[in-house]
Amino acid sequence: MLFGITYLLLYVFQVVFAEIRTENYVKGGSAFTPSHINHIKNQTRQLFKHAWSSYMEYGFPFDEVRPRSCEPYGPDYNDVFNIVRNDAMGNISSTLLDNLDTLIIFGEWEELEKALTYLRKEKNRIFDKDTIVQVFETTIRALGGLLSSHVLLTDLFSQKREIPAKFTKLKQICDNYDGFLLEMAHDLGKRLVVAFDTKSNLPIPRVNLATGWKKIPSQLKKETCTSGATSPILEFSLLSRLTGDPQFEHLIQLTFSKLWTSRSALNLLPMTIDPKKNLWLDSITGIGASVDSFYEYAAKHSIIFNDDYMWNVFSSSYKSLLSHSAQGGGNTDYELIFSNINVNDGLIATSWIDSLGAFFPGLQVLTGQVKDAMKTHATYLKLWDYFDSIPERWEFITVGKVSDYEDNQYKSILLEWYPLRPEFIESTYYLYRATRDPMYLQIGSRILELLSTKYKAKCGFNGIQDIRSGEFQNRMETFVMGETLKYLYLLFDVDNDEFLHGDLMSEKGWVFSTEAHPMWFNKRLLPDESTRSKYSSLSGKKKYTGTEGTHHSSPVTGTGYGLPKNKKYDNFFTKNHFKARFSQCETTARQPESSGLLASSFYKSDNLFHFDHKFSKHLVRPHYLPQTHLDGSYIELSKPFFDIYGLAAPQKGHHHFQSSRPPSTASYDIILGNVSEMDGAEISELYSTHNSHPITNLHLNKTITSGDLWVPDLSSLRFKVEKLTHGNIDTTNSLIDESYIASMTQRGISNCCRINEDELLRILKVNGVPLSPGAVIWTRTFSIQCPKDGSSPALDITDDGRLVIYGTIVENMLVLPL
Amino acid sequence: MKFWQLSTQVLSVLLAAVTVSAGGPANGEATADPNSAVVKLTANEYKQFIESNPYVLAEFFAPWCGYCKMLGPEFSKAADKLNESHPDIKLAQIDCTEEEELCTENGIRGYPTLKVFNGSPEKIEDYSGPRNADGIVDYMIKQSMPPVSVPESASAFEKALDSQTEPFIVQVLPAEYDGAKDKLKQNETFSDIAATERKTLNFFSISEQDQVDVLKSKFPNAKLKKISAPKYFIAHPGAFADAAELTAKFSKENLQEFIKTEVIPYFGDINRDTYMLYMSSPLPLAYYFYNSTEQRKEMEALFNKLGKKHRGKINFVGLDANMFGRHAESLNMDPSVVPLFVIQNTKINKKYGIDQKAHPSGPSGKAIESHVNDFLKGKLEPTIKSEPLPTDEEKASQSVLKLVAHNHEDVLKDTSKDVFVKYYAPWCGHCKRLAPIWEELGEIFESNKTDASVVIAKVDHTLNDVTTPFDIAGYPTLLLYPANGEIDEATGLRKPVVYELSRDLENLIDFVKEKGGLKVDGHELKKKLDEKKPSEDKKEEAKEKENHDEL
Repeated sequence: MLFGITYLLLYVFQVVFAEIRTENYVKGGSAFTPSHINHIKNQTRQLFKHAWSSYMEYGFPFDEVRPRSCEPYGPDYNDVFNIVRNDAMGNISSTLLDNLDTLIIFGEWEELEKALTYLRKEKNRIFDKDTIVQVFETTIRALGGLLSSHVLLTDLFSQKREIPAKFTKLKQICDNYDGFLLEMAHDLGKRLVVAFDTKSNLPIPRVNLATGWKKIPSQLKKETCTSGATSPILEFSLLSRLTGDPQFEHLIQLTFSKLWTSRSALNLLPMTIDPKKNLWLDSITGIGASVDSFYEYAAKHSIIFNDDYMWNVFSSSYKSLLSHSAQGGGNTDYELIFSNINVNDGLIATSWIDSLGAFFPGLQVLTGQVKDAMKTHATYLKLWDYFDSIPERWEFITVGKVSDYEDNQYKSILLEWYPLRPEFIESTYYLYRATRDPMYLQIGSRILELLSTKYKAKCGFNGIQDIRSGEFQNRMETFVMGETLKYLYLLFDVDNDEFLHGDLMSEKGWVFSTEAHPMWFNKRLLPDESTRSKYSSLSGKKKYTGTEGTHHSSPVTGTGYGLPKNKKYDNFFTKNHFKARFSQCETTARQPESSGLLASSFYKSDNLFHFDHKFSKHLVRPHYLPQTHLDGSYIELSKPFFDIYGLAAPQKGHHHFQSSRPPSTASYDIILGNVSEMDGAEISELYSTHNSHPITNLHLNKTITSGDLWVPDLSSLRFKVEKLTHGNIDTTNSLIDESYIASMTQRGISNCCRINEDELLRILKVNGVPLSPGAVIWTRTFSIQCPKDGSSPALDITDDGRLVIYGTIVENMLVLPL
Repeated sequence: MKFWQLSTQVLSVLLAAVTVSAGGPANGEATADPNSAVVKLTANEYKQFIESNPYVLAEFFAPWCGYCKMLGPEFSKAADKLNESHPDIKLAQIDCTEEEELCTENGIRGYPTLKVFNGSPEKIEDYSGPRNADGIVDYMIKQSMPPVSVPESASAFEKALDSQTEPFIVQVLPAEYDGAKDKLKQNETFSDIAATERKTLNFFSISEQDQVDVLKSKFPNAKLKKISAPKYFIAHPGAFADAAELTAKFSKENLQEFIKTEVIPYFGDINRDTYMLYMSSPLPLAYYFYNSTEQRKEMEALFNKLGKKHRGKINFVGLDANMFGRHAESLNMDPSVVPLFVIQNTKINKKYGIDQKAHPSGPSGKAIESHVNDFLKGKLEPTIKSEPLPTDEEKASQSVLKLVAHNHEDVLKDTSKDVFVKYYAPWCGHCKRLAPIWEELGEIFESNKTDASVVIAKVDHTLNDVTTPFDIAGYPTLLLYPANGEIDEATGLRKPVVYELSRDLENLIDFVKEKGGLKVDGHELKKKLDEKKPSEDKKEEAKEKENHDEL
């Protein structure tokens, strides 16, 4: 059977949406006044209507609509190996299932009712399809869509609150809702969960919706990615909790625990698994494709289900990524790039990052890492500035000769498509919610402009097949409406008019799933006896008693050393950096500008364009795009925005907007001791109870000041250092001269008497923790054994208390005297 | 007024001496259009070029720098304009990625850096003018003229006055004045000040009687009849009737002070050109946000009057809300209700706005006037960033008490209760995780009842500026203010106990019992509640059933 032709005749929605008038767009408008915001919010709604009505008219009841040719689109039945197309297609009206909650969020009640009516009719048939689907994609899109809509329709108005008039209709829909979406979810869940029925407890990547394991070529069962194996944890757990049928949660918990237990010594999971052989197939990890939602769901699961174990999974992983994968992110760095690394030694494994990694800043915001989030996001912003999109894979490390990049200006675009992925706009939304920096609205406004023009097709929205040539795709994946447009719309909800941002939701502790479905759980949603027995009888599978007890103890977080016992240090205390960092979110409440005018923080930094300099060979505008940077395409240089939100943002010490000189110093990593024990290494912040700073150093007149770090043990550390040599510009925009180097090398005499007089080292980060300019790392004294051959030992101390690494003095690390 | 002029022949010779790189169009590029009059300088010709040109504006830049890209096209345009009208003024560019040494020698630490040279590499001044073509042209033309212009004739003076687009100062040096020595000294001081201040206003000096007559006719309110000593007037274009006279005794300091005050118009607008002017003034700034020029016009007379009356006490500015409306937020005002009026005391960063609820279509002139008077008398309470107060209905329907900036202090001042407050941010995952638990905690202590002894409360810290005895350094921060607790002197609130354990229900209940002033046992309450609940639900069900039966 080729597609479900009968369905097409069965039910066709009427499409009543008005034509969109794109000329409405206020080009370059950047005021973001209430009326302007209203306007662009409404425009976003019109774009959604265009996409939805196109799907309903030309695509439904198939999975998707093809935006350029106005045809329905579904699985490729002629070629089961066409996984790029087939993985997210199940001939199950995917676009509809993925967008039920989108209709609620956009307030399209009539369309919602129609969709519900249709689904109610089809609920027993819709998943009984002889198609092979990818478990992960189907879980997050279809199962997640059903669960989220069920929870919304069940619990949205459950608390005794005044219901705003605009929700009368929705309230009515909720009142009439009998929970049939949960039945559908249960049906789909049962079809998907068979993937976990393996000896290894590791799921196969794909199932046949009608026949389970049968009829799947073995090639399509071989490799499962870490995201795919772990991510169903949110949807499966919620499904079990809502129905009382424990099998889903039980199985995914087993899988999750098993994978986490088999993590590398650095607390990292590789990307690919062979479920049959029970083996990892590679040893690479990062934050992008194949492993992205593992971190995301560890954190989100801990939030929804109040789960410490999962929070530890997230925080240990994040800590390790900071230590090993994070490139940049120091105090004077503009960007933060998480590169792919080897899970065993933490060394860089690939030269590229991928488009999917753009979700990470959103997760960083949610988990409270706001400063990191801004820097991670800033990387993707630059890509958008140059490409009007984000290449699926972009190279940031120069591989081969520099001249290769001149010969081929697109050499850094390793995978060339952009299917209107939502991750960058998703992160932009999170960052705006947390910082309220108007730059994030400007980013949204630029994306809206592109969606209204370039990316708009006759029947929906089309992404780019080849960024190098500008060729379009004839596909609109379900996430274009379900995520890209949804996040854009919610970004513009500056004044919290939408219910997701209002009182109705404020106590629910909801989060977006990886497919932007709002999800939460509370005791009101617990199944009653009748629901429980209904679903357990429907379960028809092995009986699981529950999921308790699968969690193991949390990873160790070192106990640490206190400061040396000495009266001098009585006023000083140490605070474990990571403990503080992972128990609260950073505060971001906007400091009121003394000028009374809002200013974008982007214009307050003097390194806004360092990225352009650093990656100039990797950032070349495609030939078909305008070559100017001043037409609004380069978002930070958009003139109308700059004139309003750059006005009150003089940088430190300047009135005028200036970029500092980028550093010319070499920088590299130094690993001390055993990397595999880094998780236990103590990195603490020093703080004093008094404002006075007693002098505590020997001859150097150095005092402990807040911002300094206490790193007692010099084993299991990874330093990011810059090499200070004469004539170079350092990371603080200072020219290093001989006298500065001499002032340290000539005074200090090391125990083993071999000091490199031409250079100093400056620590920028230790185990991923950035050091502020001028701050010092204090450590305990240790005994030194001078090599007999007269060479420099790995570690040494000068007689005035400075650390020496292989004969080179470290500028900002001192021994705290006993 | 006489401008410098060089023949075009000289110009072409100079151009030939420097390399002009060929290239494609440079729209939006940092490097100036090669076909423009911008001169690209390298270390080789740098010194000679500076020395052979009386006025050079040099831009030290890097091609990758975004601010340089913004400046590039404007710089080219300005160079072309000046090349036409004032060919002795040269605009030059030094690419610091190619001329590293030259840039280091010149102490360049950032891009772009703009410097003005007056005929020698040693005679340098930082360029502090605008970065658009017209602004650059005006600034450089001024730079090329003597700081004080001495009109040749009465008609030249009249013409100059009529063409002013910026505030200006006029020195009247009476010809018949006998204190000749003082006169000379005063004139010198005037010139000195002009050398530094001419960026903000124009300087004129007159002494002939027919010129004084011109001034008399232009400044109807100025006292110019019997001039026995030098006089100084500052006027704004279009407002000559309000020309201000220096009344303090002449001294360099007094004249500078006079300029600083009077260069600000009674009622101007804030924009890129005027921003620094207002920000460098220590006076409180009163903003009037308007949506249309009509609204502005309507109030103009009033604000001119107030500006004149309160000169030296408050500066008054208009703000085009179509452009800058969102800025109302940082003044603690609602950007959706415009026109609005708010005074900011910039020294202590407090804001005093006219209540927008009471004036939904904007404040009247009368309201503004009395608001200004009250402000000056110190009678106003500052406007705080706060969500609206929750209604009684809202309070009753929620188990957690919602605190906002307006009631935070009031609630905490009731020391008879244990108050446990969650300071949170809605976007924060830790806060989301805690939300349902916190709600349950509120239910257990029934904190929405007026007789509750333990109040479970929350503050959205991103929307409410609240003063706390403990610094809110992360979200969520949980502070328990114990009943009858010790008072913190700085805030007048109780010293709170900080909650730092894992945030689960059991621990939270224990904490209230241990650290609270009333030692209320939440576990007991929870037990009772759990017992009560199912039966209550049944009751309600039964009731519903009854109702159905009735139907």
